[in-house]
Amino acid sequence: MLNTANLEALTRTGFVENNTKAYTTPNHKITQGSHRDMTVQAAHAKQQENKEFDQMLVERAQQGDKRAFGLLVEKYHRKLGRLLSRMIRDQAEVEDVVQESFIKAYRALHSFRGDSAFYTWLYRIGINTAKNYLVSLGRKPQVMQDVKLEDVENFDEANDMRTMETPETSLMTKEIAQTVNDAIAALPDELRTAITLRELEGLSYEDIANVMQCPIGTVRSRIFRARETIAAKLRPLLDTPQHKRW
Amino acid sequence: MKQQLSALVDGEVDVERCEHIFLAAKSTGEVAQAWREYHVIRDVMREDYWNESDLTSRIMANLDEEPTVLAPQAVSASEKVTHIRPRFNTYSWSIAASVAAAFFVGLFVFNQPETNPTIQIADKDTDQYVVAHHNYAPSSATYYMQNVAFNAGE
Amino acid sequence: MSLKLVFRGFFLPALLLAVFNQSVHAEEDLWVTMQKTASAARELNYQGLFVYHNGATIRSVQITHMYEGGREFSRNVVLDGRPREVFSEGDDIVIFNAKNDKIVIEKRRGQNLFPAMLPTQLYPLKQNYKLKYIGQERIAGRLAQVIDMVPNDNLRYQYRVWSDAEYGLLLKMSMVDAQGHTLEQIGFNQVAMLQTKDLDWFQPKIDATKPYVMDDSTDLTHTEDNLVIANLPTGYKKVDQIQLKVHGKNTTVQQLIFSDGLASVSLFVEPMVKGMQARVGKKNMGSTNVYAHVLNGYQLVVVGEVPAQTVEQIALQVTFKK
Repeated sequence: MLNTANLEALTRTGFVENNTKAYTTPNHKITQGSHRDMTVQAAHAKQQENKEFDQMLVERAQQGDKRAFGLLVEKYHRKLGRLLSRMIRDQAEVEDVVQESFIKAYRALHSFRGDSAFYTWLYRIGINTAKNYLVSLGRKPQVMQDVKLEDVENFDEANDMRTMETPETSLMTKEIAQTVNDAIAALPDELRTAITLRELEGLSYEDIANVMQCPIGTVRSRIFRARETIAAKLRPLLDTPQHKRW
Repeated sequence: MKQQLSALVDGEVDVERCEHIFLAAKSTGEVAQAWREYHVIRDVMREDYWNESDLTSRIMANLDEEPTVLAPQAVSASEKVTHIRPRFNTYSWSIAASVAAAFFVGLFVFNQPETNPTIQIADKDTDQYVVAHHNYAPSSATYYMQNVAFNAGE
Repeated sequence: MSLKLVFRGFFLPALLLAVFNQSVHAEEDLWVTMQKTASAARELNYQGLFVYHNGATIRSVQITHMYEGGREFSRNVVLDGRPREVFSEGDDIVIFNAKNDKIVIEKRRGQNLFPAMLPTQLYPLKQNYKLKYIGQERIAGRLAQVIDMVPNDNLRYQYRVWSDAEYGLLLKMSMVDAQGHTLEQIGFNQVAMLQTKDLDWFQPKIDATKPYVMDDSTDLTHTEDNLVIANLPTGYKKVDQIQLKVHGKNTTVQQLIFSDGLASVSLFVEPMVKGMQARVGKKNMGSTNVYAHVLNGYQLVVVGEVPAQTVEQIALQVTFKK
């Protein structure tokens, strides 16, 4: 069923070591330090999967389609928020800065040429917005005194910043994260493998098909089913009134 | 459609063929919801998750008040757009017009071999010619007449 | 005194008579009305329900149309038969067509969908039809001017147009043959001006459980190969040419489209291949006439909402360039 020539890839996902979980939860991350480094770096390299679609969304937004920009907001606001949480403790303030970052990005959209990935461009704006915000309040960023942007870009588990405690998150947020993790753990093996190889290893469908020794169509279907299974459990939590669609 | 969105989110759909998915993702409904859900799942898995809230809607509400951005025509990598439309710029049309604009920008022809059956102009009878005439000829009250199977091969 | 009396007695009624004869419905004025009708469909904001009758076929369509900022948008939902949504923006058309377990998206160019049945350039119509004022009638709760478009020859059918007396919007139109039989008819049951300025309605009802596929069976790049020369009957001009793929074969079929401004005719040219059954002859399908013919190894089929002699004439007068 699984191609043993790809044992290395499988090992990295923890399949051989640990049959029940194919990924690490936040609680485990520190103990599995070096193992994670490799994984996350590989994932970073391959998480360019959406460059083309992001670029299309940007172009549409540049042509007047605000809703296209909205898709980018929905996609990246959490990632950006998490990043900025390292600089600003108060979550409400982080929300404000995230919001301002997106507005600034939108206003500056005409100057975005597509030389870099959209998210790279976006979080430069985010970091600058956060810095300016703190400076205006007479505060210094929590950890990043004179940290260079490159450090942020190469940010991964091994970086010092990670040792800072995760900012206070609402119960809702924790519950959602837990629900997703539990749902993944509860998935049938082949679905869990597929979605893990995709999201954590950053493998393309073709690569996953090789690893799992199945047709690409099956990969596509497994990932979809994995997502839908998890989403079904997630939905009731997301569907509270304040989460109406824009 | 949601399965196509799932593939799109993984960069496995040709950007030139995703117009309908894109449109669905922008509207309200299951596909739009799935866009959000799939990214929440991704963010949790990649430890990029943060603070569930209605921040997106607040940001978009704020954007409503922004003048609509219009950039000089960017050259996209896969420029098969055969129709460059003049843009217009009025506030009240930002969202509505963008739906329409996004829909029709890029009216182009696909050459992908698909296994879906195509219009069957068979040498059986003339019905298929009639159907094609009603579909493609300019004056078409008769367009509404179609009840013949469009793809007879189904 | 007597002269004055004579004048009054004679000229005045004669003058009045002359005025009546000249009629407010001089043909020029009727063409002005037609022009207004042609533009109204594109320039007004309206919504409504219209019904298409053709023999035993009836289709109800819900339409929303808006013109704003120089752009034209419309959404048509066919309520009977197969569920279908037709969206247009300017000359571009996208159709969501539910077929069995999938939704097919088709893209088209430049169709004149009701109520934009008349071309914006009326010149060709003026060459081929004469206008005649019939009277007034109420359609869909609106007062309409009724005008006949009488063909100059019997190469095309006759049309009757009901045009909203106030706004000029085409409310109803029918096609009539030489014997006076109504072949098809399309008209509003309800119509109202559109109140909203939003384009929220301009999106398809998406069925998230079904896959959406593009229909790539048509090549809408317009080809210009002058392989085929059609000696066209009076008043008809070639307006377009597209290619269709043939299922299961490598060949493509050329579709040449001709029009006299209102009526349109398609000529299909398909190379004959082994095993293909040649079709020759004519067929009438209510409002549509078909003529099939073989020439130099090509199957020709002509289809149009025009009299039988027109399709026949087109078919028989095709030649190929050397």
